[in-house]
Amino acid sequence: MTSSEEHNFENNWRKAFDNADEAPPLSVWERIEARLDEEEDRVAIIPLWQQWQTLKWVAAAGVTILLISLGGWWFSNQNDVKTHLATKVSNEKLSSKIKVRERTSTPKIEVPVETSEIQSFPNQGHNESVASVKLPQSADVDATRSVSAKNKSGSSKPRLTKSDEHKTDFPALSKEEIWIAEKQKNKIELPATSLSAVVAEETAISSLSNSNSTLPAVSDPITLSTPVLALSSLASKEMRELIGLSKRQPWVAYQPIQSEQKVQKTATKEYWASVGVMPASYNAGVVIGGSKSGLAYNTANQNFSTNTAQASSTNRPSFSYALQWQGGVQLAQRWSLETGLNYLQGNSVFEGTNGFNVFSNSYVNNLEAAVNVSDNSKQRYDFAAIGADKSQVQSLATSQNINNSYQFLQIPVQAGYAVVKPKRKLSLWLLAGFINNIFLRNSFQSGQESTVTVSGAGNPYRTLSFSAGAGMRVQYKMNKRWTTLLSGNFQQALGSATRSGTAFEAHPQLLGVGAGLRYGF
Amino acid sequence: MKDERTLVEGCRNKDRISQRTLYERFAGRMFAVCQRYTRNRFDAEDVLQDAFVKVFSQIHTFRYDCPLEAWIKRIMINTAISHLRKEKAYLDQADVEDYAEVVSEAETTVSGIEYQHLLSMVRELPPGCQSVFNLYAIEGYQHNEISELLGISEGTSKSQYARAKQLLQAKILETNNTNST
Repeated sequence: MTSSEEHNFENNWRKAFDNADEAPPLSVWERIEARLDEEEDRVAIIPLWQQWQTLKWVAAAGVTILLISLGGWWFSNQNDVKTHLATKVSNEKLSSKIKVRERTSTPKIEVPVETSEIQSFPNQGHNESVASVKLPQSADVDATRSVSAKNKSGSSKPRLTKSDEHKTDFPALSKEEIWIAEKQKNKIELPATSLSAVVAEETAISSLSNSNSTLPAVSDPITLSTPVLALSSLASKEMRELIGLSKRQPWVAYQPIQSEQKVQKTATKEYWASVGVMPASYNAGVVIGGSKSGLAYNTANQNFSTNTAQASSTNRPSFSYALQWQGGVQLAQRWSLETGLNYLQGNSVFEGTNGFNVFSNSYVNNLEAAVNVSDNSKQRYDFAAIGADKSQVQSLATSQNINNSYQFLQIPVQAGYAVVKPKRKLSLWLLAGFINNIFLRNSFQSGQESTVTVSGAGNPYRTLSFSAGAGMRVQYKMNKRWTTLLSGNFQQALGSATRSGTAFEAHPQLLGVGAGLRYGF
Repeated sequence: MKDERTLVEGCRNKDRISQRTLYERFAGRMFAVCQRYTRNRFDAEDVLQDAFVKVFSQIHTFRYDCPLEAWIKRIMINTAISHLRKEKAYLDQADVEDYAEVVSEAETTVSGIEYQHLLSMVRELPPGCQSVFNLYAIEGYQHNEISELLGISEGTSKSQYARAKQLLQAKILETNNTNST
């Protein structure tokens, strides 16, 4: 057969198989998917000490935040001045002395904002993790590999023996291979298309890397000489363009797949920022009395108002909301650390009583009275002085639903655990942590149906109070960067939101379902 | 191309939908390639599965310097040959002179023969001949390249190809004669 006839023979066969297309069974994709899942489940083999290194920074940041919060709380506690009940209203009927507690500056609470501490963790996991054996990463490392070697006798044998195929030295593999590849590239000048046409193989030159740290000599027939020859033979040709399947494709030596190799992943941390809104049900948990001075107030109050000021602690939640700006870092596949800044508008209803107060000559409800008594900037009624004269007491007590709203800035610090791993679109996270609540303002209805605003220095509320938080979050990953969030949250105050010695206490509770949008960096 | 880039980027991010899309786009043609290199359908499925797993794990090395299909096809062929190497399919080394018989072109045309019949002809070749035939006649590689790839000598590669051609020509002749009668 002449060469043209031979060429026709090959062309005929090539044309017959060129457009061949046969759909594989569905089970093939299912098996591929299962193997991909297995590989993703394979935990990055980070040595335990590296995990401790990473966790050490996480723990340090958490402790720092906690210490700052506790310090602020302790500092604000130190500035509480005990309220004095014996003062007189400066009107024509009473002579009173007001003891005003020393004004103290609002304790400064330095709280971390957003994720600066978290993001400052040194990325030791990356530096120290075992190098990936997926070689190579750079174009330079995509240098050619030789498959077979011919010894000097001319007989052929496979380049890699079975024993060679199992030698692996993953941590050193990448650097040496890169060096070798760069050396090869420097020795043989090939068009860029040739080098880029190589398929990177996992085992690559594993046998080369298992030799001593210096590169084997070029004269080594088993190692570099063969790749050099292979590249030279290819370089002498005009590399064919890879236009289509029917054309000749430049072939580059490759290494067989080693199924026993472990593919190690380098862990990558994902940082994110999110915004969201959370409609919520907020219960202020106000209890009038409950403290020594609160009880004294109640007792004294009953002297002039037989039907008022019973210790009332009936609260009803009302529609509230929180605006959330949060950030976090995913520490591992299942764990995350999150913080942020929330603005909480908490509305609730306090079922109080309303009576006419002869001293203020106005209707006062019991919540207002309790706040007034507790507020160091307000005038005090000298109950002890006036309480004995019951003729001064007149009251027509009625019940009043008092709208009671609060505004807080919240700084949550919480950890997340993925119940359903975030390897696909949907993931489910459990959240737990604590919330730093910074009091901004309290507004409630007075007995006169006006609004009383409590804020500023000397107010009965702690500047910083704490809540425990727990929740669950569903995440839907729309694409690489954006994720939608749907979360349910519960918060319970740890301790009272009011200062010690006030005539009332507040133990707020919140239950909300929020939605948000996250951007991953 | 833009669509291809989006697909590749999605696969790099281990997005399962992108991976599934890439698989569905190329699986048909690649399965046909795998069938040519293996002896039976089950082996072809195994090779296809192994190769696509490797495609997804190596997708980060794809440099957009060739069509994605060509890159995937190289991985298919690599994987198929690796599969055959495990079976030590290249132990026979025949001399090229044994298979120098010439058959005229007119009697060896493949037109008119069904694809499945042609595929079965290729599959019935001895394993070494099958791979060499695929690499030389279909993929277009030279014998020295094939020898490096398969770990055989260039002479063996030529000899295997000649043997493959002779066997195929005989089968085609037989088929054509059967069809003409």
